[in-house]
Amino acid sequence: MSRTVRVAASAATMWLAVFVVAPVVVLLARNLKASDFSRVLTNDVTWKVVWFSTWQSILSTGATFVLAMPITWLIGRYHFLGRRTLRAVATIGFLLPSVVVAAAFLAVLPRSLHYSVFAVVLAHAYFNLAVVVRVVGTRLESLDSRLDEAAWSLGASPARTIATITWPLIRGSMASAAAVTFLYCFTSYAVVRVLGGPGRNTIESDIALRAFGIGDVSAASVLALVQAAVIVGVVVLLRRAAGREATLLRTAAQLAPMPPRVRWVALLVSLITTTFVVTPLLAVFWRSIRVGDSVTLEAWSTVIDESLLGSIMSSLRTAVVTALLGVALAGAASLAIVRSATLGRTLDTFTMLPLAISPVTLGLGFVVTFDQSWYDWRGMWWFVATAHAVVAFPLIVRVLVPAWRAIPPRLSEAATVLGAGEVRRLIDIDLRLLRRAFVAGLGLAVAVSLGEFGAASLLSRRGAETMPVAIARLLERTGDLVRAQAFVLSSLLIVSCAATLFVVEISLGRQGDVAHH
Amino acid sequence: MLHITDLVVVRGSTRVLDGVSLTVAAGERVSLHGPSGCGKSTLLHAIAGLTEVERGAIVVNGRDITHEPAHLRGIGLVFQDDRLFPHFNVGDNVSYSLRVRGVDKQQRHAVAAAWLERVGLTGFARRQVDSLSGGESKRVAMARTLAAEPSVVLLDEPLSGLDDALHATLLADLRELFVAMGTSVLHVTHDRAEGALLCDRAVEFTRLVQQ
Repeated sequence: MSRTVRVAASAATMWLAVFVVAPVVVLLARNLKASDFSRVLTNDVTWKVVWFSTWQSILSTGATFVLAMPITWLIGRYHFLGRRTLRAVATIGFLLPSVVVAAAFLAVLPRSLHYSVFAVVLAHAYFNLAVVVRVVGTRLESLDSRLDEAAWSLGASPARTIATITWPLIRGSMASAAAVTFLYCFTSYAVVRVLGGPGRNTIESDIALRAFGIGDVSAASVLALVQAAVIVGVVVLLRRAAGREATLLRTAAQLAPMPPRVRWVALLVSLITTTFVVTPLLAVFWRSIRVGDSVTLEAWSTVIDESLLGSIMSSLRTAVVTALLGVALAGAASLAIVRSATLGRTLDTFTMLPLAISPVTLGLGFVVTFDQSWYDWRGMWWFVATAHAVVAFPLIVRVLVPAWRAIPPRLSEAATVLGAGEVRRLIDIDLRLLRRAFVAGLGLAVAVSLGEFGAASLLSRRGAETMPVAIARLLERTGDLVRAQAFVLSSLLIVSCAATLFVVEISLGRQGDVAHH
Repeated sequence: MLHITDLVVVRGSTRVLDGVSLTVAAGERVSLHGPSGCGKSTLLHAIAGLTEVERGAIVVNGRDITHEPAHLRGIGLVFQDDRLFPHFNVGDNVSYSLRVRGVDKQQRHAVAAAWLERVGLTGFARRQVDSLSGGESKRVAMARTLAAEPSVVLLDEPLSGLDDALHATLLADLRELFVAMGTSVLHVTHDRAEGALLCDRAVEFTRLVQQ
């Protein structure tokens, strides 16, 4: 292993140790006693929260599949005009900050349905529509429609073909999509806090409530452990389901043209899905210019002179620091993963660690660990960004590592025989060719930071709160103008997240081109 | 017996088949020749019910099947690209048509074993399809189609992509199989020698057919 790789590996490991492992260990070590377990786990409120988390997640997962499967089937089975656009529309929800999705359903639903389970379930389905479309749709696409023809020619009816050929080949991906959706709903925070109303808490929102509302950090720690156990359990099941399916398909994919009899159904399904996705977003913009009964730009005008500007600036500053910090560290980790066979594999697993820790748990760990009198990091301007960099870190690594592996080693070999040293080669070959992957990583980090709510809601200080935190706070207050301000911030987040992720998408597309040449 | 009259298949604004007529007598094996892209495969897909027919008639043993759904036609098609089901083992692939008809498991296993033996793959029933060689895959695809006991067998270049030695062996085995079964066969190929060895009669897929 060369010196450069060693330095990179050490930097990434230190970072994970200090900002991922330490907060969790300190949180549990300092606050957890055996008696806390019996106290929390015998409490009725705990089980009410666990039960609500579970049943609303099951209901939300069901609703997601009902809404997603028709469009997934169309996109995954048929080749038709506007297919890619429809696929993009169906994935919009997932790219938006969860607090904005929650705000959008406040904007679009009638008042009688605000703060109801119905609103929570619908928002969860909106958010997770993309999970099903992406996971199951991609699987369906890779499934050769010519296998259906083979089954028909052997006497299987279309229904029988779906039951014996299609279903066995996609059920693993449906289980994966269901598990991922379930986890997102189970650990939901912003949606439940904004749309759930009083008395409805998931474990995630209850952790925040117990730690910061009641000051019972021990109970919060027990709940964090319970939640982590459920996450690990579902992920283990998920991996087993995915593992079984991976070896099945080797055939080349071929999408069939859409038969005439399907066309009207397809049109109807496309219209319903597009309306479901687009209407809440339009409602956000509409509610930002509607104060009371009049249409006005009053709420927008407060952007430049009031506290809204503070939260916008705070979000931007946090996003920039998150992007720089996240990309630098993910770059170091990726270098070590790609260049060192032995250490790389361990580090590869280790970098995924932040995914297993919920944002609220991370935020709580940060407060407990770093909010100390002699080194009060909580007041520092970079504190929230550090937590956001932890959340974004595994995602950036996932973008950089495959791009890095796609660079042919012969280029570096050519540079070596021309006299380039290791650092020189890294700068001239790798970093040059990875430019677009790094831009995508920066964009991803910015998008994560702009939308992150769980950790930021615990870590940002009043006056310097990020936009999602400000939106949630404004929506909890009464008054038409205040609400319109929340929708102004939501509109700004929709536009900026869309723009950022557009850059990511373009960069990744072009990076693919580089890898192929 | 397979009797095709004045068959027209349209794709977009192109007439892919323009008035094709052809008869394959009971127990007869006919090979159909013609250059790539002339519509040979489309004809087989139309007979099997996988391509919609604009005009004309397809009659099998006196029954008009022109507008019947593919799965009710009782016609066997061996695809150029095998199309084995990746989630079934070899035996389950071979006995798939029996499963569709509701035949019990024990009998399915017996039929699959018998067919595998006939195509020279004794003991292959529990093998996964992704472990098969090119020649073995083709034998399994053939056994799968024949196990359905079709009234007519359509072969869409079933031996393409094999090396010469394997091609010759499989061709001899197939000929023996079809002669023994006495099934009507319509065989599409661009290899005249293959057609001559396997079939009784050769037809040029040109204006002669497209009357």
